[in-house]
Amino acid sequence: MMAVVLMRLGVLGGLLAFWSWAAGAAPRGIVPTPAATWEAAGRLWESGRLTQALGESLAVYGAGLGLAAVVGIAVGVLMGAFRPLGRALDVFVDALAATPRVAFIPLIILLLGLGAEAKIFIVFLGAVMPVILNAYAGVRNADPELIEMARSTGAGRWRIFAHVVLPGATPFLATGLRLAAAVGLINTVVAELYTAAQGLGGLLALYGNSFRMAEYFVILLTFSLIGVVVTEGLRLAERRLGRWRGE
Amino acid sequence: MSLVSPPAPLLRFDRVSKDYGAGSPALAEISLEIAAEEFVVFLGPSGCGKTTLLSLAAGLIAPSSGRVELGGAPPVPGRRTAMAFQSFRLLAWKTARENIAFALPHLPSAERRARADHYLELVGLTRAAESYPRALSGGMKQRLALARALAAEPEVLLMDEPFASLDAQARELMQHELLRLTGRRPATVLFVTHSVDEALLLADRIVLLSPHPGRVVEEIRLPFASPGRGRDPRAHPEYAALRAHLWERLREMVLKDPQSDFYGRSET
Repeated sequence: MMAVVLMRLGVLGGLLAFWSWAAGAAPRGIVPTPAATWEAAGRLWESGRLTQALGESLAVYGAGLGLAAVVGIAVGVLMGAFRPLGRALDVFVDALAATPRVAFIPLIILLLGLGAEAKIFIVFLGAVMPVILNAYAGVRNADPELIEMARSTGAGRWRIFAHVVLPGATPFLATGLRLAAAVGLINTVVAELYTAAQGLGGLLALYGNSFRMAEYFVILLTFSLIGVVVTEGLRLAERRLGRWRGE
Repeated sequence: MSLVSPPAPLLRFDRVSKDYGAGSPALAEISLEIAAEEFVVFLGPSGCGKTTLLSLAAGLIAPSSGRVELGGAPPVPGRRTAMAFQSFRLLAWKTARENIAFALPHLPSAERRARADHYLELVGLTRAAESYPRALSGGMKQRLALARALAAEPEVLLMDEPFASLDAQARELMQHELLRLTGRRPATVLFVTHSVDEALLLADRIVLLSPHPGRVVEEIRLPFASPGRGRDPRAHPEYAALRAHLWERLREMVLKDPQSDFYGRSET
């Protein structure tokens, strides 16, 4: 564990060194130095713009991701538990999963406008697919030998589902949620760029278009930070729930 | 001539056939009667329908024709039977204690826990009560699976090659363990195996099955079996002759089975 932390710190140092070098090597005004970026972060923080944008983005992201988790697990589990339903629907889910979700944005804007609903829906639409597909796969993947064992003890459908099928599917559910968290973050930016410019995505467009690169870098790094916090949080939850699988 | 009629069999197979619709039926016209507290071992080569026979007795599947009766009625899963499997089939996300408790849904929870602990103790796993299956050795997993089947305190214990995946030493220990445990609380046992020695060690009666389709070809009531269960029959004068006889029958069946790898081969 200690070795991992040290290596991580080493990689971080390497990245900072590379960044400093790139800031000097690139044409003036394209890549800000780490120090300039740090200062810009301080300015944005004090003016309250960063916190406000962060709040807006996290609200959209959280609502879309939460909705995707609830709906996706419900749909995927139902599809897996009722085979005919699953077989009838999985073609459509695959079709939807294969269509670039960005293609739906004009339609979503027409239907829901440019406000929060549209943004949340764009996040939801991206994040829900990996949740559905993984929940579906997890339930279908249930071990027939364990189900037979459970039946031999006299367990009924519900008991088998709750004690055998669902716990067996948790690794799949966790994978689905982690993928959803990544896609959801991407879609948060996309939504904020394509609908009413707002939140971190809005600031990204603003600073990018006006060549305020230090501020622009602050927003980029904020996104990375959100990504790390969310995935690590999910991993921690997964480890808590999956103690039986060991390290 | 006795005026007392023999006790009604606990488990009865009456011209039972099972066809999964894949070539020859798995079981054809099986008729058997098994008395309470009898230890019956089903011996036969691969494809003789031994597992199907146990699933029928458990009520997990229904016969294609004929009747299976447990105490006069078709068996219902979990009511009066419990199964132990070759692949331990433990729930990886439950502790040893929870795995046993899972098989006791009909008990109130306090009693369930007490019962689970009692059987953990019987198989020597008290210290592993809170362990997850991944932390247990193969032998411990098998003891846990056995404890789960026994804890339901079934009238009929159905065992599908339960020790086949253990090494020779663990296997012998488990065989004696089983005899000890079924001796404590008498149960009817249907035990499936490929192993002639295991059959001779455990059985009151050996039922020899032929493959493709599964049929009863011979029944042998062992001269050295119950009520003295648990003593080593290998010293018995008839042991060697019986063992040779069973081997010969099995070998014959395998050589004559077109679906076996050894079909048509003969000794040179």
